[in-house]
Amino acid sequence: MLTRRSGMARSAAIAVLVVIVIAAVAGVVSYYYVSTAPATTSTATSTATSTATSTQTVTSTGISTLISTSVKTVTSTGVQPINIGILAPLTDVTGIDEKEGAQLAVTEINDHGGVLGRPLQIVSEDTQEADPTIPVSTGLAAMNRIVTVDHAQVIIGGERSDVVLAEEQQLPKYKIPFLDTGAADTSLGQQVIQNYSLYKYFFMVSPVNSTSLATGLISFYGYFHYVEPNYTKVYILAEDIAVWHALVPVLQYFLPQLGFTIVNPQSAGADYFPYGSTDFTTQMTNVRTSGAQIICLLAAGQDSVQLIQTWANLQVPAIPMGIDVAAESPSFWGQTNGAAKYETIEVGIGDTGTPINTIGANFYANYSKYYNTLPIYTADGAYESVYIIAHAMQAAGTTNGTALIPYIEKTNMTGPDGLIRFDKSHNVIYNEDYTKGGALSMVQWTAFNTYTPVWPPTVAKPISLPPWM
Amino acid sequence: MVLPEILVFGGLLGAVYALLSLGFSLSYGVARILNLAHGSFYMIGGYIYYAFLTMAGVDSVESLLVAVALTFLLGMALYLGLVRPVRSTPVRVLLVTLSAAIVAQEVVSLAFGDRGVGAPFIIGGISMPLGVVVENQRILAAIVSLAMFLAVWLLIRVTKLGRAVRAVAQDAEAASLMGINDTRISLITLGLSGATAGLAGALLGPLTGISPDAWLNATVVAFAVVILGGLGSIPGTFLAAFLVSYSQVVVAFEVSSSYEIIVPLAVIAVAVLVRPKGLLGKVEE
Repeated sequence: MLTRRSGMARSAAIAVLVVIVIAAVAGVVSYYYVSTAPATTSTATSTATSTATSTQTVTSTGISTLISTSVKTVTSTGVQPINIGILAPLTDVTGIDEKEGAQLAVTEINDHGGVLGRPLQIVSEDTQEADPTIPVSTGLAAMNRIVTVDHAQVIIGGERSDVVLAEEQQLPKYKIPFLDTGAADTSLGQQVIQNYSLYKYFFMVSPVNSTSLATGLISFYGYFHYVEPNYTKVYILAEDIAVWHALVPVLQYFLPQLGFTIVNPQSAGADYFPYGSTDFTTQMTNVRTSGAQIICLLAAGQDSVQLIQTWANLQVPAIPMGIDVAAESPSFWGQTNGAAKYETIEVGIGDTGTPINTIGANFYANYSKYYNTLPIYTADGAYESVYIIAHAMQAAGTTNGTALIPYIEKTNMTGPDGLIRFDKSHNVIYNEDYTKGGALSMVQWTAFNTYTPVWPPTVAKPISLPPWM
Repeated sequence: MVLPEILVFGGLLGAVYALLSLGFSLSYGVARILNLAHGSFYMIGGYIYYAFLTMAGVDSVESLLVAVALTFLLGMALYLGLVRPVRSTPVRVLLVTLSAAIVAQEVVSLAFGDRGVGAPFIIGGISMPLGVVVENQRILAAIVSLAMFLAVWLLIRVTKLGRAVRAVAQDAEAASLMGINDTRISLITLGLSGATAGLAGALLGPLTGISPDAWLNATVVAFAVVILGGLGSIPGTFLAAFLVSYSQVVVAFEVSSSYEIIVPLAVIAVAVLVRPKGLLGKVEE
């Protein structure tokens, strides 16, 4: 006769067996996914006319200069490496690309002798900041580990502005350079101006700051109004995060001056949705009922995947044209099951799929070769950041964080996104001409893995409208 | 006021909320288990559907059936493996189910990444009920949800198994004395709970995307609906599902979608303070 104890033991055994079966099924499916996931096509095609490769600046320090001036080849183990810390959301495309872009630069530099006779080495910590529910403290804990445990001598990374702002506050304690390659909030640079002695360690390499992003977007809208004067009604749709709250008023001021009408019914003049939202039927319905012809979309997170799918599924008669970080990824087409077609987004000029200079061409070719995908802006930024640091260390003759600052400030280097120089707030200087600064472009998704540049005018192709418009 | 949009979207959402919350109502009403991992079934159901449809090449109906079957088994496994040993202490049940939910989130995140996934629609195109543009997938989700809700309700009302479930819900000890196996009934109830939530996740996932942290919002919504409707009351759950969905949709359209998430939380607070037993709060007889 079964006792109560043996009955419970049998139940527990059955439960364990069931869990094992389910885990095995999940494991088989996951393995199948990992082993058969289609590789992203490595070559982005572009219909833009390439005008760039012959116009690389020769007066500035190019990335190749570092390689050619390396003193000796790093040959032996036992040489203390220089730790380049990658502090980023390592399971998100922004963080993955940051690490991969940095690793590519590290590999190139090490292949040519390293820096100060020492190899560079990537150390990384996951901040998980791409997840909107993850608190800032997770990023700070990761930062503490990367400095105290991993012994990073410089940090490259960042994605979410509130996390990076908090990390910036720690720099006076750690006294090592932090090169931001993901967050765009202008206040990050304002700290440098307001209290230089404490925050001089912070530099923003990519993207250009939010003011510059707004400038580029406004320039594009001005151009668009010139080529399509009948499309004037704009609906501003933005994630409810600090960087867009700073940018929206700029758009609200300038767009009417260019001849656009902002048709948002909300009292704020913009429709803010929670970061990480998943259901956009309300927003799309509001766009439709407002009579908008253009959606000025501002999104930094993965929520735009669902937003764009909803837009396409509901055939909303307004074309999304704005800043959408998730849409920069080559995988965005697949994530949206092709709904991304016609979305028009702002990217760094080096991310259009058509390199603007030889350095960009080499970067894209090598990145595609090693990682079988195309980079987004964080990859370019991290790649450039490693070279910025390497140049500074080589020039300073030291890896000491404080000693490096003046040399980083003097950076005058050409990268995949154009000329890299820093202003007083330690932001990369923006210029519509990539030979004079970090430049931007607008591209439109047209097919799987394919952007078409639609601005600036020198490379623009006509913008296509969805068939339902 | 965009009345047609509110009527249509609120109604379609309410149907899925009813299915999502039904299992939670059953698991508490019958098995007296406040399962904080209930939303995990929703999340896992969505991922299983996505995985079988997009990676294993199984067609959409079969993928749905697989999602339902596996979440049914998962519900039973949760009961046997984690809940049953601590069932006598409600606080431990809360802790162990919350832990299970967090573990499930981390496991799914490791397997599929942090970012959400979106399966293709079962049925494409749009329709225009009351002149409102709606995806056909959303209408399908509502219809299937209502059908499943009705099927489970009939199971409880009409079948011998359902009578046993209701007997255990009324008085577990007396039912046991009558020869009804409480463990078997609780097992089936948790399995049904998992299956209904899993189906809701599979149906809604293509529309909203599904991510590892989706369990939290789903649990909050189910909690709000069941508290408002009355613990253990299936008709109450049905009514409350639409009240919550319409409240959310009205707030989203008339105030801001940023405040949509507050609605179920506010419902829980108000219901507990004003009418703790809910709208139709008796356990079904």
